[in-house]
Parts: sequence; C-alpha cells; structure tokens
Amino acid sequence: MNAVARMTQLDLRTVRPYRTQVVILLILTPLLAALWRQPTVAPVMVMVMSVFVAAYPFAIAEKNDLDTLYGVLPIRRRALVAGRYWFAMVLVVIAAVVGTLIGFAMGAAMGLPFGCVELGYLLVAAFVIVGVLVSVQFPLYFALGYTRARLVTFLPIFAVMAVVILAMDVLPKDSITLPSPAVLVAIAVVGTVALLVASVAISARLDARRVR
Amino acid sequence: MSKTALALRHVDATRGTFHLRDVTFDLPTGYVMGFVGPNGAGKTTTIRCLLGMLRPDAGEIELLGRRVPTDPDLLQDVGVVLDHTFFVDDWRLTDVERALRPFYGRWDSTRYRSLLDGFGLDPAHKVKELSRGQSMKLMIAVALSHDARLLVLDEPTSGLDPVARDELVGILGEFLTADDHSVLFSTHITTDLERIADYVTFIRDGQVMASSTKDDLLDAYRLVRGGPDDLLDPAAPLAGARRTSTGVEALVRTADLSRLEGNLLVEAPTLDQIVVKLGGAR
Repeated sequence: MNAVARMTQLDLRTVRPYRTQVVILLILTPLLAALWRQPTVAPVMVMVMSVFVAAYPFAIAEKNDLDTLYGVLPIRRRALVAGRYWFAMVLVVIAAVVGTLIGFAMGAAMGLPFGCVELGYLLVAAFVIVGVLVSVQFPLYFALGYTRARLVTFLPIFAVMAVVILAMDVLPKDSITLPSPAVLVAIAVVGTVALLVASVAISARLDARRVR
Repeated sequence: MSKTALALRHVDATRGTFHLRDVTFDLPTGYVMGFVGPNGAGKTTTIRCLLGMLRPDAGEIELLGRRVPTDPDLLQDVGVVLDHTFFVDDWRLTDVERALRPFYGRWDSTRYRSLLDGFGLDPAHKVKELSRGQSMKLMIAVALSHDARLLVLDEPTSGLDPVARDELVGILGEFLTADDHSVLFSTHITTDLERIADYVTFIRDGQVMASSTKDDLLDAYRLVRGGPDDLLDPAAPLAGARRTSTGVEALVRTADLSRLEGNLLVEAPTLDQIVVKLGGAR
C-alpha cells in the first residue's frame, strides 16, 4: 500500500468512531427527496452532504492534536494532503452508490420513474458540485485549520454562485450554443478533476506553510 | 549502527516569537540524555526540529546517522512519547494499532498486545478513558511495538504521580538493554533523571547552557553555603545566589572554588539544584 493510500485509510479510521452520525446523515438526507417526490435527486443530496463528512478529519485532527501524529509518522506531509482528497473521493463514491440505491428503492416504493440517463447527468452534476466545494474548502482548512476556516469556507462558494447568477442575467441566452450533452459531461468531469488536482497542489503548499 | 543517536550543530530556529540560538549537543548511541530546562526554555522546539516537524533557520541536525530533514522513513526507528496523547480520543486501543500498523514496516502486533497486557491496559478501552499514566504507557507501547531504536520523550512525566514516574524509569531501563537503543528525555523534573541519565543537556531561553555527561556536570559545580556576611563580594561568579537573614546559598564552578573566601560549607549539588540555580541565574 502506498503512502497516499495509507493516509486515506487513516482518515477512514479517524472518522470510523463517528460512523453512526455519518450513516444517519446518509440515510436521512435522501428522505428529503421523498418529500419532493423526486427519487433521482436522492444521490445528488447524499453526495453533496458527503462534503460535510469529508471535513470531519480536519475537525477531529484539530481536536485531538493529530498534526503531531502526522509529524511523527514516517510519511511526507504531501501524502497526508493527497490522502485527504482521496478520502473525500472515496466518500463521494460511497455516497453515490448509497444514494442511488435509496433512490431506486424510493422510486419503486412510490411508483415514480427513475431514469438512468437522468441519473447519469445528475451524478455528474453532483460530482462537479462536490469537486468545486472540496477544491475550494480543503485549501482553506489546510491553511487555517478547521475552526478558523469553517467560518469562511462557504464565502467563495457564494461568490461563485453570485457570479454565475449575474452572468446568466447579463449574457444573451439566444447567442449561446451549447455543445452536445456527451461533450458537456466530458468537459465537466475533466474540468472538475483538473480543479481538484490544482487544489491538491495549493493545499500541499498551504499546509507546509502552516505546519513549518 | 551509527555512533551518534542524534546531533544538533549550531541550530537556530523560530517558533512564533520564540528563538532557538546556536543549539549544539549530541547523544552517542546506547545512552540516555536528560534534556532539562524550565518551562518555555526551548525543549519542545528543539525536539520538533529534531523530528523534522520544524525547519531550522540555520544549523545541521543528524538523527541516527542521517541528516534531517530527510526521508521520513527514518521515523520508522524513532518512537515519540509526549505529555499528552496524539490519537483520536474515541479510538479504542485496538483502533490505535489498526490505524498505525500500516505505517510501520516492523510493527509487531503480538508485542503491542503483550505490552498493553503488561502495562495493565485494556485493549477495549478508549483513549479518552485513560489516565495520564496510562496514556504515557500507551505511547510507550506504540513506540516499542514498531521497534524504535531511539525514544524521544517530551515531558512524559509531567502530571504523573511518583509511582507512574518510577514505572517509566523501569520501562526505559528495559528498553536500554539493547546496545543500539538510545533515549532523549526532556523534562523539567530533574529527579527523574538522577537514576537513568548518562548525559545531560541544560537549555534556557533557547540556548544550551551546559551539555556533558551527568557525572561531569555534577562534578563541574559545587553548592556553597555560608553565614549572612559571607560571599558579599565574591571573587568568583555565583549562580542562583539565595541570601536570607541567616545565610547565603549559591552554586559555583568547582574550578572557581579556591577563589572564594570565608567559612563556607561546600557540598556536591544534586542535578535538581544545578538546574534550579543555573535556571535562575541571568
């Protein structure tokens, strides 16, 4: 097992004692989709909620002085940073699987359609949302620590949303020619992965600056 | 086997507003060094530099024969014990092992279980349920389970009762039966070192005041006591002179003893007295 995988495993073990909270979060969230009678939204909701769980290692590390543990382990800090992003991605995959299963069950129980194509687009959209949230929030956590960062982690998200809303109002809608859905999906996935990779590099620098 | 367990040469470092200046000392392999000084003297900052957790501004650091910072794999051979645990509070002691085992190539699960058993620690207990003494034993169990060759202890005995402190000395004695095992033991409770330290480094205000074998350090100073009129204008520098209405007590270099006049009582000081007197001298 390489260093990054070991750090991802350590993060999983770090949140393991709090698994009951995580399971409750993962199960209760899609029930909101039932209230909307939109079972296909369930995986999106679970995936977005998984971002909160992805921040658990930062909070637990701060409370328990795990920075000292990371310092005495025979491992580079860069592996810790990359491992935490992989931990977030593992959570997202688990959330997507759990959310999809719950969505299917919900659709069957309520007699509502659960379109696979629609589900695919929604999963990609959720991956983009999660990717952007993680890419923006994690560098702040690494730079400032959990307690200080959590006060500001949502500010960049609001800023991006405000820009998007303003742009939608300003841009002439008729003149925009969208590429095919397949190309859009590819652009979204590749763009999100690129954003995450850039975020890892930034986090590694910020983490080194904070710790040293 | 490297001849030197650790060596710092002219190390300067900054941590917040605190500065280490020209810190130089070394510990030969197979020995125990007591690293003493008052709170805030720079012991923890020095240890952070040694472990590669703080980058020095200047100087060289060597750990088990290799330069620091270096390949972090070197930390496979280093066990760290602090005055507080650095594990997740809600981990059970079995979780501690599961979490740490993947990082250490020589992790020995049987030894970990045996050490917990020997220390009277229940593997089902959570970290947060342990007392101070039990927490210290858990960290030692972890350090010994990955077959560390160098133990770095940073104030492990602060807040411990005398029985637990005595147990730690016993555990360290057993660890040192292997020739290539060494210990750096940072503390401000110098009585812990009387029994086990071979070397002593004394640090104050971020600077090393003395570093030598314990016996040399004890031989280098004498405690002098006199009446109220003695040592009013001493011919040699005194350290930590304490004057009361009934007399005076001070530390003096053994080499300067012959320069002092008066009806003085001269005694060999304890390590604690040397640290207290030198720590108070400015």
